[in-house]
Amino acid sequence: MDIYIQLALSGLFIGGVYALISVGLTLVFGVLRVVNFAHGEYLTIAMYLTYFMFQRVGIDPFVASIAVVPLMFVLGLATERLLIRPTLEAPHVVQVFVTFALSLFLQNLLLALFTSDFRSVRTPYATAAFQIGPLYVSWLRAAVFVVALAFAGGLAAFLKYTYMGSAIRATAQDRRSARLVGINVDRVYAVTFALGCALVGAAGILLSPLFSVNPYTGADMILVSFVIVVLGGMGSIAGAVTAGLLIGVVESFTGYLAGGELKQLVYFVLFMIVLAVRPNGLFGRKGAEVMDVT
Amino acid sequence: MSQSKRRLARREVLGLLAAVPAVFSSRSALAQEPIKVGGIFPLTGGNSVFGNQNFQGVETAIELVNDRGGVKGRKIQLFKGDGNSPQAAISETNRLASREGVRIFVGSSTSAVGMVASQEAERNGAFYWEGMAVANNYTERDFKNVFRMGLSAAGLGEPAPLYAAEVLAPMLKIDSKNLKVAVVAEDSAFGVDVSRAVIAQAEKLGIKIGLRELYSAKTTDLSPLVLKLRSLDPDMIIATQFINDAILFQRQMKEMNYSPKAFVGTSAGHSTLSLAEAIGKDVNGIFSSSFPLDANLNSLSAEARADREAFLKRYEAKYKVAPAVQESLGFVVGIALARDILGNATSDSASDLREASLKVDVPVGSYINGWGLKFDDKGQNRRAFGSVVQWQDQKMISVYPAANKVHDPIMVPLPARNAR
Amino acid sequence: MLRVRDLSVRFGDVQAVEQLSFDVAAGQIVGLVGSNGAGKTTTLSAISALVRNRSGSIELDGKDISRLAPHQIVEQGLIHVPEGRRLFPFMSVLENLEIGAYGKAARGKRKQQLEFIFDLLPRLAERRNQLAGTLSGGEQQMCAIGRGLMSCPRLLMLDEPTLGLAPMLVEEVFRLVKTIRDQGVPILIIEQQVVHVLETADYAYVLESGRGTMQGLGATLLQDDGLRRAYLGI
Repeated sequence: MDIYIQLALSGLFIGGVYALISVGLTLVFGVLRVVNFAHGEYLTIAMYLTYFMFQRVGIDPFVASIAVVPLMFVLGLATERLLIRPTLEAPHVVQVFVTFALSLFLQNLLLALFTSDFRSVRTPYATAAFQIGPLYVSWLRAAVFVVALAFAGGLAAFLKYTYMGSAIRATAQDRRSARLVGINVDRVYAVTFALGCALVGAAGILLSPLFSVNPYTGADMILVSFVIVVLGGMGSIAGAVTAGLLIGVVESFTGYLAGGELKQLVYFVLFMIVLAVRPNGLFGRKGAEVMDVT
Repeated sequence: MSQSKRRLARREVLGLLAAVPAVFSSRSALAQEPIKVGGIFPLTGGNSVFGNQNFQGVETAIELVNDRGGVKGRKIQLFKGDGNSPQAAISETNRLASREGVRIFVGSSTSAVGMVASQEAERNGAFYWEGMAVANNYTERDFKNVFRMGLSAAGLGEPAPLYAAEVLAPMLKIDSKNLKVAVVAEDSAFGVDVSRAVIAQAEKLGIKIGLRELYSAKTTDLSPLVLKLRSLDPDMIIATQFINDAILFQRQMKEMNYSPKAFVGTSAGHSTLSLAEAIGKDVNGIFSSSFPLDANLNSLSAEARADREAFLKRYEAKYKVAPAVQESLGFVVGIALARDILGNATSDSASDLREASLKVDVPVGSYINGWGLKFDDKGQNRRAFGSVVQWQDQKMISVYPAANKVHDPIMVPLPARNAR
Repeated sequence: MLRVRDLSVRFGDVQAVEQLSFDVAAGQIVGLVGSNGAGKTTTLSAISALVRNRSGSIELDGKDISRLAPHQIVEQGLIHVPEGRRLFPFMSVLENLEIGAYGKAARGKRKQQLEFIFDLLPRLAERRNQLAGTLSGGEQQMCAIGRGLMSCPRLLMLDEPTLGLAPMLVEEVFRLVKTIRDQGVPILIIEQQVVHVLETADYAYVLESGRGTMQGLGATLLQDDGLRRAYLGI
């Protein structure tokens, strides 16, 4: 019995990070209708920023977030302005090309700057753990889980209770009507994209004491996020969080019961079953896209 | 833009692209026509860590040979081919062959890349010199002009159980027949082949394998595996891992306060400096069955000793760190190709290089890692052997076999983590 | 108050609106009638800048607004309630109304405006927590008009507000339109319910293939034989 609780805990902890990565991706899709294939590279960039602040200046990753999250936000604003906005009216395939090309460009830029060596943030607390009865709980993983969920909760509150948040939700549901109630939709796009980057940046910071970074780390991590976003329902924050935790736990259990090589197989099967029963994902809402003309 | 103009523009772009390798290649004076060698390594993408390390080693060897006057007065010009995927390896091999007239290739860091690049070279009638790809069936393809200087998966993995039975079991005061071993590997061809070789060798020695567990190297959580190991409680873990998963595994074992009595990796993630950077003192005591890093100086020829010194000096001057296993391997592969194959061949045609390769007979101890060179009829070097290194004071130290041993093993059984 | 001169809109090869001129004076309901495809919706979209490729001048209280972005036009108090309601379906009625007051000028008056609207449309007050997408057609229309009113409009533009509504509800909408006018907000309304509009409107323009063909007091146009033949089938 203990082992199952331990597995569930491990799964939930990593699922919290999956959720945070996926929340940004699903938000950007829900509002801009753009699938950002470069989402993973923003994770990588944040991990590098955190690494260098730790290595060169000696700033703890959790403290570094005060600088890194805003930096990622600004980077998101710039990307939206320069690359995304000019293609918003273009066919979807153009946006796919743009974000995919951006992903390759950033990978190779990082490769040129930092080589493909793995860099590790080595904090004294990285492997510290406490014991409750027979359970081992890593302080860091527990903290990462709590902070990740706090970020996701913060986002939900922001969307629910602020003017900008309402404007973002309104734009996602009907861009034309959003314009007609006085929402500056271009600004909403910019803020949303930047928020997506800031959130994945936060995930990168949280991951950096756990995982080493090289230019391809983000690309590896982001695969599961695409599954999570679709599983949760594209555009749904609650869906991304739920699916993130679910995938984390499923991975953990299959890793133990069936062996690590079957982990992905099992969650892809789960993915197909859910989509067969609920084609719009766990929390997806049918027709949300149809509402969007102009 | 008119059609003809567009075509012209494209030709210009291609011309520019074709000029790129010239920029990267060694800047030798072209008094005599240079010997062109194409290096096919994954230089970008997921496997590029090892690709770049291997390439740096090869490059250092070629530069050294050129600075010593080249091969019979001719310089070697090294071209870069980025085989970041099997498809890219094919197109890069063809590009270098058709555009640069390269007839000699060296590679390739991963078996996925090496298998297709060598096939492409063979098809083009070129010569392929393999150093790093370990797939067991690499030399089973009846190719004429493909030779592997480095180890097979079996050669890479076998030292781990051998060392366990010969050295570790007595130190642990366990009869090797009663030694309980868990085999853990990432699930690409590398992990699968090497772990299979480990198990075969272990069974030959009568060692019991308690668990064989595969997982994806891209995994983000290995705690289920740690839990399994904890409940099995093996004496020893033999692990075939890449870098990130090796780091993750060590960290999660520590988190869950678990440690076997001995931990033996098999090259890759356990023979790279990133592991020490990531886990610090916790790395001490870990063994890695590996391409040899170093050799016992007494077992090296005078020439190899001079090479070793030159290599260390040049490498450290250029990259500001000491070379590790993959760089050293690249150097050996490069030196052997330049000095012992090109240097002894009548011409640089593929058939003459094949001739030279079949004839070559370099005794053990002639290269900086202690290897020699003698091919069997399949094109596999019989004088390449694996070794075991151990992390001591956060450095890799060769401990096995005798020809490579520079220090005794320590920390057997592994002490508590705060005592490493 | 609203002064439109020589408005033209092209969609590729199609001239959707050509040289259209009209005015909406303070305190008036002005109707824009015409058959399907006459360019009515395009005209409203051009005024609220949803459609960009347009020429001509658009002035609100003497101020040129033809270069403003949609949200800036809303800020000027010119509010467009679109065809087909276009509520935010996954927001509650209350949220839909509140977001109507998104403009900076309207934010401060949000509370009192909300009270005013719940007073005017008590049904919305009852359903305030219901998702807008689940309301009936009539309720959605009321909510859409309410959302427009939340912006504290100086002029309200209604696009086909009775489309698809039962006759009883159509009456209700027109009563509401008059009430709003009587509260001091002039209205530009486009409709296919020609008789109703002409009965309600103080002044009306007739559009055919993007051109203005006739104009006059609502009551006068209602008597025009040509118009009656064309639109009323009499």
